[in-house]
Amino acid sequence: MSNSDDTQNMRESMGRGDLEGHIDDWGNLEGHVDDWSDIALDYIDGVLLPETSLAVEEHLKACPSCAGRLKTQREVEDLLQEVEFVEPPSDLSDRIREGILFPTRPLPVLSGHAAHRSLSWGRRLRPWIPVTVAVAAVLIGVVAIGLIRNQPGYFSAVATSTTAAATRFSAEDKGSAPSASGIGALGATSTTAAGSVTSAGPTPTTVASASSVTMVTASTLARGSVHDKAAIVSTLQSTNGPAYLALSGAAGAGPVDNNAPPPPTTSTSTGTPSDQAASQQLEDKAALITGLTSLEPLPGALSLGGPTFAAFLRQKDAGALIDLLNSMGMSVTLELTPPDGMGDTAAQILDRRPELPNLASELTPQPALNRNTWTTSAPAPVEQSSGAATTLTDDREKYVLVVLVVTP
Amino acid sequence: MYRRHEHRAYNLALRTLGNPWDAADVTQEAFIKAFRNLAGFKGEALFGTWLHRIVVNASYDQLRKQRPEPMESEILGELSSTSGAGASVGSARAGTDPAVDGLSEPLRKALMSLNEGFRFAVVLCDLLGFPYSEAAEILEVQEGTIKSRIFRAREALAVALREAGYELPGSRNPGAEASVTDEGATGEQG
Repeated sequence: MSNSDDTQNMRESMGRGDLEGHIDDWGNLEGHVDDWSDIALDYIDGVLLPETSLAVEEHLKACPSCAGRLKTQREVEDLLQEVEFVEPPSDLSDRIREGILFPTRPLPVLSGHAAHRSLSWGRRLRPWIPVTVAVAAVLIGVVAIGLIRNQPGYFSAVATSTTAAATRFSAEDKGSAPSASGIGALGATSTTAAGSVTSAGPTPTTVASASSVTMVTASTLARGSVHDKAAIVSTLQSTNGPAYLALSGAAGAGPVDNNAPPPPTTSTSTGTPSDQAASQQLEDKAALITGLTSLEPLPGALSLGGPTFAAFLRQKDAGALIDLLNSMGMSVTLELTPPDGMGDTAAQILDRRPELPNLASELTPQPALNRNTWTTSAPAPVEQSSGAATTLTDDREKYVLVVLVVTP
Repeated sequence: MYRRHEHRAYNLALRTLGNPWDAADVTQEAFIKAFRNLAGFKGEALFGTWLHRIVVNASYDQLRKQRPEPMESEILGELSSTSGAGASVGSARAGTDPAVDGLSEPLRKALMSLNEGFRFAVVLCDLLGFPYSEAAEILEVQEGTIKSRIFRAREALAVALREAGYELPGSRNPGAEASVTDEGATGEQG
């Protein structure tokens, strides 16, 4: 497709050729084409007023140099107008739609074609080197201090600071390790940055993620709950359930990655308008979960502190579920016991397990908006239950009861 | 919105950035930005004008990101005293596949050697067919400025193409070749 017709049509609607300031007392064009290049372009496009066009032609007859330059103009214009439009990449519309639908997911801009970008990839890599070095330095420092100061009491203090660094604790942990607060604070800073680069480039990602997981595992042991994706998936695939997934950050805006440490857990009491906005955001997230998984929230009476969903999750889809929840801007924390004070309500949910659907996902043929398509199926017959009341086995696939609670 | 403008938006980014990967990223970013800021579109300009201004701004941002870091530019400064932004961009993506790009290598190089302001003008008007007036709105300059840039850009392209062995019959004046790497300079008299 040539665009020259378009160009001509668009330009013909404009009109042209004000000679004022360009003619001498004899009605001739003053100077040369550099002095009236705007008129020259309109002359080439054939959109000048007749008298102006005549003045240009008179000049060109007397000035071969200007005539030659206008000829060059025409030739280059013709050459450029023959250049055909290039089709955009076939996946571009999907990428745009995804960016619009999932505003909290990092734009694929940074990672889209990393494999093709040897030079700019190198440039983009460079800013993360200090982060990587900082994380490595903290880890080396922690180990070295532990080896040198071979005192049981000191070592446990360092371990506490690692936990603080990994989970970005605020008030409650700052007080618990005064002797190592400096290390803890540095670790927190580095880890936060490391967590945010996971889509930026292959090498720093690997290093940073590995550091995060290591450190979060330390916090896991301390807190009895699981934050990082690998540990959650592993637990979901091995537990007999039920598993409670607290989905936090529903009101937050930043991208979430469960390979990174969870956000701070400090909460401040807010006024009524904020409460309403937060409540609306919880409902929005719940609606999104319903839209993407087909799961319906449980009745309000069975709520565990926020919109609550329950289903038998096919265990091999645990990773895909965490990815989906992360992509919605929520960080996931796994508990194997009901939230505090919610034991009775949780028991009521378990009582209704014959009614709960099975939840599974399949890979969506690409290109497509989502990597996975989620489906819910009718509750499995009770007789298919295995010995453990909160798991099911169907066609050799194992399902575990998960309860998802959307929290602020 | 996307279907109507995708070709021009993508080709604008492609021709000004010089490679399809950055062009796709920039187009994506521009459409998402436009969608998120639809409420801010007041209707003072045509929607297409507004959208392409976003693409232009995103492309400028991308070009800024590609500029050599201080240490590199110091070295480059010794190698080439005339290395403008366009020159660095052109050399940074020497491996672009012509089959993907749709331009002959001499023409692509010639385009990328232009100063950014001249390149945006000539791409908008000569490659994408925008009227001078709309290109002026998109680039937020006077229409006369657009015409002046295009005139000089075409002359510089002719020179660059001829140097690359591409025959442009009848182009007898090789002047003005340096004028587009410095906006303040003017071409020689005709």
